[in-house]
Amino acid sequence: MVPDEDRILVRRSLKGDRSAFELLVKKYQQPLFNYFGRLVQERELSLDFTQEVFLKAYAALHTYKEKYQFSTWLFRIASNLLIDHWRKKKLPLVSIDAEPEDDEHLQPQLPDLEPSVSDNYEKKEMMEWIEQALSQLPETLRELFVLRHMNDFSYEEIADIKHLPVGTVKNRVFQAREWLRSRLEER
Amino acid sequence: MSCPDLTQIYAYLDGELPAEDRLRLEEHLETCCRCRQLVADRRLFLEASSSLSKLDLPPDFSGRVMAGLPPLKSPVRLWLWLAGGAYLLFSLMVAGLALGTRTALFPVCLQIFKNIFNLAADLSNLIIRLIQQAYGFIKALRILAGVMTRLLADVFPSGSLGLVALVLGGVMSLALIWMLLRPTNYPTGEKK
Repeated sequence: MVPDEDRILVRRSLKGDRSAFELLVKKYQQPLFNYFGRLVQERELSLDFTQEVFLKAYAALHTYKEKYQFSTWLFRIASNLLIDHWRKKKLPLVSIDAEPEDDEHLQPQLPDLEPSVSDNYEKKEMMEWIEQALSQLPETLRELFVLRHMNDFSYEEIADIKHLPVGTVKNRVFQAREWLRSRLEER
Repeated sequence: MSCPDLTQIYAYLDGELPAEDRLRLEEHLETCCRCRQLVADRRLFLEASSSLSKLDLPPDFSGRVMAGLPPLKSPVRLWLWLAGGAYLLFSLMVAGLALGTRTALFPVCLQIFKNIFNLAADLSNLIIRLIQQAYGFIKALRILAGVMTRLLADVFPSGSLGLVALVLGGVMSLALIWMLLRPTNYPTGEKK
């Protein structure tokens, strides 16, 4: 396996080169902050969590295995941190493996007739509205939606981060998209 | 093609549809106004979702992270622990023996050394037995080969042994040629 930039930086960090780890921090601080920002929705807490992920990653860097991508390894730490936070807050966590709820908006069948969203919204207006609706999306679906759309991970990478089958990830991202879109329609 | 379901539309927009299905769907879109609208809506929605603004990070954030880094842990290998433990044990035993007969550790250390010596002796015996058995097996094979040769010499006159070898060589060559040229497309029973 040819080591990519991240793996080279990890190797250098393990040899004690702090500037190499700083490059990793600069590369991943914005994606991690975007992730926590959308899921925790408190700026200071998101900053703390982002910092904590890097601290945990640095302390456990010797356990990182090069067969994994560094980005998915890092986001796995972030996801575990988030789950702990939700548990402490005692948020009603919906099992990600559970069957989808019987919601007509979430069915993959083609709707008979639906109002055209593209006729009624400009892209910028839609972005603002998605941002608002995102806070109402159930956490577990929101996390997968954020990983897919804000962090640009592939379905396979998300499956790797969340230890889920790829099919389950696709299904949940589909549900999240249609849930948000249905709220857009109802507006 | 009938109208695709929403998962297929999303797979198309995600670029995850196989080329053949994608072409079929695109052909369908040319004729189906409703599906065109669905695709346009979802495309706009996905574009908007992937373009949400980045949140503002404080400019000194990486410095803050670097200032709080804990000391780096080096990978500690199991064999290093084992080697260290064995060395420590050995040192204690040697120290116990060196301190003389008056210390309480002396008989314990002596017993451990005796046991280690016995273990090494047993292992050596085992290895020697295994080598002896392997040698006996090879010897038996040699005797068997000798008996087979004599039997063959009885069946065939000694002058024709070369002929036997020639025939065997010919059969093996033919078998090799057949292996190389044998037909690979076997009938599967499916009708064309």
